[in-house]
Amino acid sequence: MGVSDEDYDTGVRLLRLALDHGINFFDTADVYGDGKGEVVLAQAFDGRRDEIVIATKFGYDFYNHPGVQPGQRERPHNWSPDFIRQACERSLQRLKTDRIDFYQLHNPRLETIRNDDVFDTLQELREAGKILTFGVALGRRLIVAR
Amino acid sequence: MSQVSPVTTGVAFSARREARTPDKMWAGKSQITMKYRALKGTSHNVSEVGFGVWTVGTKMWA
Repeated sequence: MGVSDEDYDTGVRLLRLALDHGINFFDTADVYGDGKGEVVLAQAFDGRRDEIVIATKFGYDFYNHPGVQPGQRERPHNWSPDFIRQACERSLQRLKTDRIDFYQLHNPRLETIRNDDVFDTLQELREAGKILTFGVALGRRLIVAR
Repeated sequence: MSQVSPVTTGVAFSARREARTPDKMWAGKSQITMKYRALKGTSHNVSEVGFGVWTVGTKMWA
């Protein structure tokens, strides 16, 4: 899975065009393109941070499991507090910002949603001003499980 | 965060492949006014239409 320079340029143009036409909510994830989904957002809106609302997601450990997985398998999750803190810092760096507006668990299972450590960590990040609010992006497996 | 004013934009999608460049996709006759709503827990107003960056940050859609 790679994104060429030409794809990048087109992506930047599309993102800017969207903002010009009133779309200010941009939803990405750290795992999209192994970080490229956040990098392209930062590139498109360099100097315009206050005009947009950034939503991103965390939970997949693409740092230790990069690229397409054999058989298109889902990459392993890591919901430990240390990993969440590290993932947040890395997203902030890629997005070139000091805060994430909306930080979401990416496709968690029910046991993760019931894990208080995860939400305590998110609350800690919120109190530190690194994220403004948080939520859960539900994947198909959890929706089916309901 | 500065508030983004609602804008009026022309939207018309052409079925013709040569017309589907980003700039031309938005050139049309119909007028749509973007709506915004509050993002709970923040002071932000977000557009009801969002942009999924998955479409430009990966090759998974190609």
